[in-house]
Amino acid sequence: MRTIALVGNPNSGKTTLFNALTGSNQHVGNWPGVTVEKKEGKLRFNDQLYNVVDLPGTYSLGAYSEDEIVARDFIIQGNPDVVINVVDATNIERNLYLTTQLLEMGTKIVIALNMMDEAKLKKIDINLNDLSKQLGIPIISTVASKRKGINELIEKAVDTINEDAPVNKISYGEEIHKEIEELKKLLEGRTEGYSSDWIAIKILEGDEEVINHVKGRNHVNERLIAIKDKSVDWELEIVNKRYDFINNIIEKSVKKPDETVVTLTDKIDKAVTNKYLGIPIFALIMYMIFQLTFVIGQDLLGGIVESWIESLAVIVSSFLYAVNSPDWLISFLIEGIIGGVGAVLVFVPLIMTLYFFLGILEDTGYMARAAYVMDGVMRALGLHGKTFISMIVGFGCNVPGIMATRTLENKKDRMIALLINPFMSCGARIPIYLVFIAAFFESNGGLVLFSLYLLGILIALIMGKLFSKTLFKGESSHFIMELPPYRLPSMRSVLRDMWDKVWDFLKRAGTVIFAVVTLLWILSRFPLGVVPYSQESILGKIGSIIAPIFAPAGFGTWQASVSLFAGIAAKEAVVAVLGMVYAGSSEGAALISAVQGAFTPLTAISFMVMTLLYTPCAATIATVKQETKSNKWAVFIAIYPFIIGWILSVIIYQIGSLLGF
Amino acid sequence: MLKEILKELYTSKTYSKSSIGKSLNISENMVEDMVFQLIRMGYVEEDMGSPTCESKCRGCTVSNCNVTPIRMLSVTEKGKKVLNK
Repeated sequence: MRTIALVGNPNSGKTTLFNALTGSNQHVGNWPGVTVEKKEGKLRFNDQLYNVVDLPGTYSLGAYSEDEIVARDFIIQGNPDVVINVVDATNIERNLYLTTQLLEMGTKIVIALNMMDEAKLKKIDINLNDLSKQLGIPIISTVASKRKGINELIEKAVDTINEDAPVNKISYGEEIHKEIEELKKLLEGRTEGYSSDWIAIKILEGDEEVINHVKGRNHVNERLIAIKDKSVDWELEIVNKRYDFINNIIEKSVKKPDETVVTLTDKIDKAVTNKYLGIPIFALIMYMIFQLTFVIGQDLLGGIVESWIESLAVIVSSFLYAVNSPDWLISFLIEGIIGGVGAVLVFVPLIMTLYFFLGILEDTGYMARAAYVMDGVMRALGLHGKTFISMIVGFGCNVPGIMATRTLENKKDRMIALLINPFMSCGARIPIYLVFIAAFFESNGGLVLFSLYLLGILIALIMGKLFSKTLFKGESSHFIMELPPYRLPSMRSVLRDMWDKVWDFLKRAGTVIFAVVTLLWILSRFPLGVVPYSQESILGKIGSIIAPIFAPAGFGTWQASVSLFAGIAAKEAVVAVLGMVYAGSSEGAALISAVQGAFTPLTAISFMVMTLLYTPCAATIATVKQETKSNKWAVFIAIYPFIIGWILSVIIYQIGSLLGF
Repeated sequence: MLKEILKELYTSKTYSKSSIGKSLNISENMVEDMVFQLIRMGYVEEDMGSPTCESKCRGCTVSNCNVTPIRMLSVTEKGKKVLNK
């Protein structure tokens, strides 16, 4: 039975064509020794049965991946009678690279120029006759999804079986050509059925598999050494010649809409990546996002979750009283759980809104521009530009932010990026700011939030510079960022991303925060007989021990101190504890008025700065330990941000007090 | 052509298929494919800039890793040798 092999780039419509050729007459297995799927089917044409093999989709026939090796081994060793090369007409340049390699293999080829309908829609005009002539390969236009051109393709493939293989017309240049001829002479009669041209080209390209195959023959070994000794980048030169060949053909046979026009992306980029305007535009966009977050998340949606939680508290307490529940249970559920966890949950609408806008920014492709404009600043400070990428990730959560530093190869760059990441204000810190903003800075919420994020970035950059001058000296490597074209954000992906983040937030509220709140509730009731949430409770005593540390920063109360202490377990716990110790069963408005009584605008700023900068959460510390494999750095990341946060809070409070705030 | 792209990647501040395509008079698809080949051959290194999360982001509030990757390219030592010839 004759064999027809299908080969093509991924997404070229190869499998659709395979289905059109074989119908339901196919079976699926695995290629021997690999996990690559093998699809075979039968095709009947003019009373003859043909075996059709769908080779794995691949861009090239080198030895870089299992798919490539499987495809090329089958073409060489499987000896198909003809190969149908499926070429995506809408991306013809890229697809023809594989065609050039088939030409080098000396196999019989028919091109199925697929997706011609889409090419027409994209105004790509392909002169089939001319293209076929230049390649020396028959070409059939197909639309596999609509079964167009299938019969012609089968007919041509069957005809080609009885014809000679096409001549490889690629001009490799004098030096390569000479070397190919030399190698061919040495390999004469020893190619075991393989095309000697192909083997010679592969040897020059440094293909290990082919080299190992021909090694051991004296003359060949000598030649291999001679080839290596010549300081020619053979592989680069050969690939280059293939592209020259493709480019020449495309110029003559394919007409495409003009790509040289200045696109909207070019115009926007001129402003947003401008040396002087880039950073102010980035700052303005972030400021607008924070403002919008408050307008939508608080003014429009705020209060919804709060009213739900209040209603829940009323229902639960009514029920507990009705069934004569013990006081401790009522207190635990209402003050501890609903008051503590609820204090965190009321901020869900704001968090949702913020991540919705950040998602839009990311999906449009703007974040790459933001990273690019910040790259200049990073470099000026002696930091690696990639550091800012991990910083952007850190805005969501410091844990993935720290893991994102893995992309920095240089240890110096990586350690700096890792050590400054906790200064990026993660999502868990937002509820803390929101409580204090609602209490003292309601009319300037966006500005305050923006300033806190900005302060986090500034401190990170200053510390980065300091580290690069002291702990980790050395040069950073050069890289460039891709600026993808702008696109309209996909609401589906933005909403999914937002939901993922909100869901994680809710999960945390139901697990870690729940556990922290339970523990703190117990500590607030013991020793037995004390007034709950009083300074005499264990919780109060722990807070009182820590409180003097924070006195110079203006918030030396046991309540504030214990909330910061709990925040090391998880940052949201700060608000949960404030909710428990200040407001009991009533979160939201009651918590805000309690905070207004316990803090002043100045101490509120000082406290927010402390929560922004102080010791990162336990998960972050554990990640630093895991990533650095060092207890020393884990301890360092726990202590040094605390010192920075404390110093800055003290400075703010002391100067503010001196100025009469 | 590949050397020209390599040079562009080494000297440019950003990688834009559109601008390289315009300067070399080739399509964006062709630029992308050539960069792909340069990566395969080890002249250029690609980095998607986002965390792999293979060890799971443990327990933090916003712990999912659905971050749109920002693609970064850098010319390797092998690539620099070609440029220095």
